[in-house]
Amino acid sequence: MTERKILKRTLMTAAVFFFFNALLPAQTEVSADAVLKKADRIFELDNVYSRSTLSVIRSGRAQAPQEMESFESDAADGSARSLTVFRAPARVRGTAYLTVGDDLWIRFASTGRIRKLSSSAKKNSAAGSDFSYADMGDGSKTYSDQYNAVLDGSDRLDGADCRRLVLTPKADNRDLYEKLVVWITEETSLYVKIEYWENGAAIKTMLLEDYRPVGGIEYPFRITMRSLARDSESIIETETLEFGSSKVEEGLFTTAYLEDIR
Amino acid sequence: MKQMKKGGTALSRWAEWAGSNPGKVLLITLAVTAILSIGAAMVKMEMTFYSIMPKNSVQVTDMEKITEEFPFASSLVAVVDGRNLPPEQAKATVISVIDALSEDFSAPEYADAVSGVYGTINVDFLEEHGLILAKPDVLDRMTRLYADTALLPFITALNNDLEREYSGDGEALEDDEAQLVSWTGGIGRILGGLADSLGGDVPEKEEIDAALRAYLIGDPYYLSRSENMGLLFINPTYTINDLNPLVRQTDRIERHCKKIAAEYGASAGLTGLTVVGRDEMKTSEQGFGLSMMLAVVLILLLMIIIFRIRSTPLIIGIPLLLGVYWTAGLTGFTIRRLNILTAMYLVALIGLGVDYAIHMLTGFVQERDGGKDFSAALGAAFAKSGRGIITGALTTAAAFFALLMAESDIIRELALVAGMGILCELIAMLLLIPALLGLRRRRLERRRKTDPMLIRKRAVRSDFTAGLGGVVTARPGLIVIILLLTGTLLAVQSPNVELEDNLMNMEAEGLESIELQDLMVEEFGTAPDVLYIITDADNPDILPSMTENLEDLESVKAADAVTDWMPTEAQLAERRPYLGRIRTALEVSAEKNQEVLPDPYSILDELLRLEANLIEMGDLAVLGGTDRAAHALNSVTGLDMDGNKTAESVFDRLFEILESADPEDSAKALAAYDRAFAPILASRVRAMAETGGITKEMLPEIVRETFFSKDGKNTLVTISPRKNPWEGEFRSVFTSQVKTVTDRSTGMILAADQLITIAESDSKKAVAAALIAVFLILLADFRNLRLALITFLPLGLSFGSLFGIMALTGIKFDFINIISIPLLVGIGIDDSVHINHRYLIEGRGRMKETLAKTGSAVALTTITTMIGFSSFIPSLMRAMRSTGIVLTLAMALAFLYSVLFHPALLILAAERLGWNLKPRFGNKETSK
Repeated sequence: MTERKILKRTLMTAAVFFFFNALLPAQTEVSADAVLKKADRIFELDNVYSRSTLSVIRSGRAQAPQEMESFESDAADGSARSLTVFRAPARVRGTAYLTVGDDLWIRFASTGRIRKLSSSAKKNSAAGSDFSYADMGDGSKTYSDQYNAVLDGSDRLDGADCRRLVLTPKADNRDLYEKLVVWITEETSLYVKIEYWENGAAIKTMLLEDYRPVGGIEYPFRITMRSLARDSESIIETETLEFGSSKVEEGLFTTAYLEDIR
Repeated sequence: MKQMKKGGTALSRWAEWAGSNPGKVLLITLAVTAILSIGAAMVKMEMTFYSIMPKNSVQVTDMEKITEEFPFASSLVAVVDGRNLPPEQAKATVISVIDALSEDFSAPEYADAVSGVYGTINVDFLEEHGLILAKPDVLDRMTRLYADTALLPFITALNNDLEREYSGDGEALEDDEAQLVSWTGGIGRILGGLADSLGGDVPEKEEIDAALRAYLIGDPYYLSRSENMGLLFINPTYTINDLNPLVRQTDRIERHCKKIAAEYGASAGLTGLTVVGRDEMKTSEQGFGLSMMLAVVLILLLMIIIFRIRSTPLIIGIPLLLGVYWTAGLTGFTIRRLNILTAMYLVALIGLGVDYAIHMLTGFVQERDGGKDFSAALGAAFAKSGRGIITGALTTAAAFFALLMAESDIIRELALVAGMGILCELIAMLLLIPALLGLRRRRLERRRKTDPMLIRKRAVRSDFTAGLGGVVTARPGLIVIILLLTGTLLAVQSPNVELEDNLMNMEAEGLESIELQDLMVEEFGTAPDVLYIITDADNPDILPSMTENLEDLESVKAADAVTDWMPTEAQLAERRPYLGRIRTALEVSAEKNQEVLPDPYSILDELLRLEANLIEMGDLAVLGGTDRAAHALNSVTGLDMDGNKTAESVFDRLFEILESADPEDSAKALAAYDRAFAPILASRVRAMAETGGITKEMLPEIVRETFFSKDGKNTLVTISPRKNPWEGEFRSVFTSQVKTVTDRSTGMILAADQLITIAESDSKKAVAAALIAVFLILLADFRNLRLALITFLPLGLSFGSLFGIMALTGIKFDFINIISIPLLVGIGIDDSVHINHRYLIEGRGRMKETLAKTGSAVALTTITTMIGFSSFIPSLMRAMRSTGIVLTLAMALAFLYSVLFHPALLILAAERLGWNLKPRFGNKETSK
C-alpha cells in the first residue's frame, strides 16, 4: 500500500467517524424521548379508581397504615384532578385531599371543615409520608411533558436490563425537581426506579414493583419512596385498580363534594 | 580487636570480635540507649484519628481552628436517659438530674475541668429580646396576633393565624414538634385558668404568667421528643488536642454524670467530638498495649520452641525491645509523637526485627551443628547470612524511606518511623546477638557446663521446606501456571475492593459515645456531629442569606449563625417597624380593654373554632406520625389517637359553663379573667418587643461560646444534619447539598473525607515510590535486571491476590490499613531476596537445597512477622483489627508466592530457559 493510499484511507475513516459522531447526540436525544414517552403511558390513563394502603416507616418505627380510596380524572381543559379519601386509620377516616390543577384542598372528617392548601405546598410531604402532593398524583401530566430526557447509560436492576435516563425540567417550575434519574426496562419500557434530585443530591428514591396488567397496561402495585435525607420510607400498596372506572364521576372533584364525604 | 584483623568478611570479623568482647559491646549499647532515652522521653502518644488529619487541607486547618478557638465545639454532651422510668416521672427526673449536674459542674471543685455548663436555654434573654430575633414573616403574624391582648381578640387572632393559608407539610410538623407540644401545653393552661375563673375562682396571675411563658417561650430544657431524655452541654477547659486532661478529666466528668443519674434512678452517658477522641485514645492505647504484649510473648515463645535454648528470650528479646526503644528515641528527636499508625508499626516491628535474629541464630546453630567452634560458627553464620540480612533490611528501610515523598504527614511520619525502626532493629541485632551469645558462652564456661546446643538431639528442622523444594523442583511449570492463574483471577476482583468511608465504623465496637450519637438523632432529632463555617466577625451581613439557603436544603435540619441571636443592622431596620406596630397596638389595646366587657357568645364561638383547629392539628399529627404532638393536642381536646372522645376536655368544661351560665355572670367572670390575662400578655409581649440592638456582651454565655472565637475575630455557622452524618449515603447527600451553598464548610465528616482521599491517593504514590526504591536496591544488589524483575513478580501476585480476597470477603480498605500497604513492598519482597541469595550460592539444580537451607528461616520470619501483625486482631478498635487482618493475610500470601512461585520461576528461568541470573558485573556471589 502506498503512502498516499494510507493517507486517503485514514482521512476517509476520520471523516466517517466525525460524521457519525456529529449525528450521535441528536440520535441519543430522540431515543431518550421515545423511551420516556413509552414508559409514560402509565400516566396517560384517565378515570382511574384505586384503593391502596400507605405505610410509613420512620426511624425504624412503623406508623398506623393509611388506607386510601383515590379517584383521578382530567378536566376538559386537560388539568389534572384527583380526590383521595382516607378510610383508615380511624382518626382520619373520611379525611380527603382534593387536587384540581394547581389548587389543593383538605377536608377534615373530624371537624367537617375544608381548608385550602398553599399553592407552594405541592412539593411538601403529603400525610406525613415521603411522597409529596405532586408525587401522589399530578394527573395525566407525564414526565415527558415536563422534563427533557437524555440517555445516561444502562444498568441491571432486579434482574432486568434498564436504560438510565436523566431528566431535567423543560421550564423553570418550582414544583418540578431539579433533576430526575429514571430507570426504564429495555424490554418492557416500565419504570423501575426514579431518583429525585434537589440542590445537587438525590433526596429520595422511588421503586416501582409488582407490575400487573390492568386494562392492557402494566401498572406497579407496590411503590416505595425512600427518603435519602430523612430516616423514613413510605410504601403504597395498591389493592384495587380500575381504568376508565365508572366510579370516577365528574361531581367528585368539587369542594361541594368534599363537604358530603362520610 | 585483634580478632577483627584476621581473615574473613568484615561482618564475620565483627561477629567474632563481639562474641569475644560482649562487655565492650554492652557498654556501646548502653551509651546509645542512654542518648536515645532523651528522645524517648520527648515522645507524646497522640492516638486519636483527629491527630492524623492532613494538615495541608483547608477543612482540617479550619476544624483545628474551631476546636481551639470556639469553646462550644469541644463541649461534652451529657445525655440523661429516663426511658427506664415510669412515663409520668421521666421528665421531672431528667430535669432534676440536669439541674443537679449543672450545679455540681459549676462548683469550684470542677473549675479545672469545666468552663461552662448549659442545661437550659436562656429564658431571660428570650423574654427580653424574643421578637427582635424573629423574621419579618413571623413578625407580620405577631403583629396581627398581638394587636389586642384581651382574651376575645387574642383567641380570634390565634384562630385566624391557625387557619391562614395552610402548608399541609407533614414533615414541617415533625420539625416543630417540641415547640408545638410546649405551645399546646401553654394553650391548655390558659384555657384551664379561664375555665376555673368562669367556674368562680379568682384568676391566679402566677398561673397565667406561667401558662403564657410556656406558650411564648417553650420548655427551657433540651428534652427529647418523648420528654424522657435530656441534654446537658459541658464545656471543658481542654480540647481534643490536650491529651493529658482529655482522658483524665473526661473520665472524671463521665463518672460523675453516671453517679448522679444513678442516684435519681436514671442513666447518663457522654458524647461529642471530645468524648469520641477520648475513647479513641483509650481503646487504641489498650489495643497497642495488648498487641505489644501478645507479639512479644508469642514470638519469644516461638523462639524458645524453635531454638530450644532457654536463654533465647534474652538473646533475642533484649535487642528486639532495644530496637523498638531506640526507634521511639529517634522518633522523639525527630517528630516527637507517635500516632495510631506509627504506634501500631512499633508493635509490628517486633515481628520484623526478630527476623534478623532468626537468620543470625539459625546460621549460628547450623554452623554449630556442623561442628564448628563458637567463634568460627559466629563468623561463618554472619558471613553467610549477614549480607542477605543487611540487604533485606536496607531494602525494607529504603522502601519505607521512599514514602517520605508522600504529601500527607501521616505517611511521612510512618515512613520515618518505619525506616528508622528497621535500621534500629538491624543495628541492635548486629551489635547484641553475637555479644549476648558470647556472654552465654562465658556463663556456661564459668559453670563448666557443656553447651546444650551441642548435645541437642534435634537440629533446626528443615524437612518441610526441603519437601517444598522437592515439589517445586519436580513440577516448576505447573506451579507457575497454577499460581499465576490463581493470582490473576484474584487480581481481577481487586477493583471491587471497597473503601470504608465511615470513620465511626473504624472505632471500637459498642462505644457509648458512638451509640449516643445515633440515639441523639432518633430521640432529639439532632446529631452532635455538625458542619461548621468560619466567617469574619466584621462581616455578619452575609450570614442571614447563607443560613436561609442552607435551611432550604432537605438534608439540613437547622443552620444557626450569630445573627440568629444578634441581628445585623439591616435585619434590625427590617424588623423594627413591626415591633413598633406591636408596641403601639399594645398601648391602644390596654386603654380600650379597660372599658370593654367580653361577649360570652363570641368567646364561645372562638373557643369552638379553636377546638376545631386543635383537633385538625391532632389529625395531621396522627397522620404524620408525630405522636408526641398528637398526645399533647389530644390532652387538650380530650380525643384518643383514633379520634374518639375519651376524656372531658378543658373545652368541654368551658362550653358547659358558657352554655349553661347566665350570660351576664359569664361576661363578668370573663372580664375578671381578662383583667389579669390581658396585662400579663401585653407585658410579656411588650418586653419581648424590645427594639434595641443586641451587643455581644448582652448575649447568653452559651451563645457567645458557640458562635464567637476566643479572640472575637471570627464567628461560626453551624449546620445540623437531619440524620447521623456518618451514614455513607446520607453523608453524600448532606455534604453535596451544603456544597451548593458554600464551599467553606468543615467538620469531622469532611476532615475525615480529606483523610480518606489523601490516604488513598498518597498510598498509591507511596507504593510506586517504594517499588522504585526496592527495584533500584535489588538491581544494585543482584546486578542483574532479569533477576530483579523476576523477584518482583511474586510481590505483584501477592498484592493482586490480597486485593482480590478483600473484594471477595468484603474486607474494606480504610485510611489506616491502606496506608500500611506500601510497607508490604519492603516486607513482602524479603523472602524472595533471601531465596535469591541462597540460590546464587547453591547454584543451578540445587533449588531443593536452597529451600531446605533458607526455607526454615523464611517460614519462621514470615510467621513472626504475621504474629506481629496479627497481634492487632484482638484489638477493640476496628481500624487496628482490620489492619491486622489485612497485613497478616498479605504476609501469608507473600510467603506462599515466595516459597512456591518464586523458586519455580527461578528454575524455569535459570535452568529451563537458560537465563543468566548471576551478577553481570563484580563477582561477589558465584553460582556453582
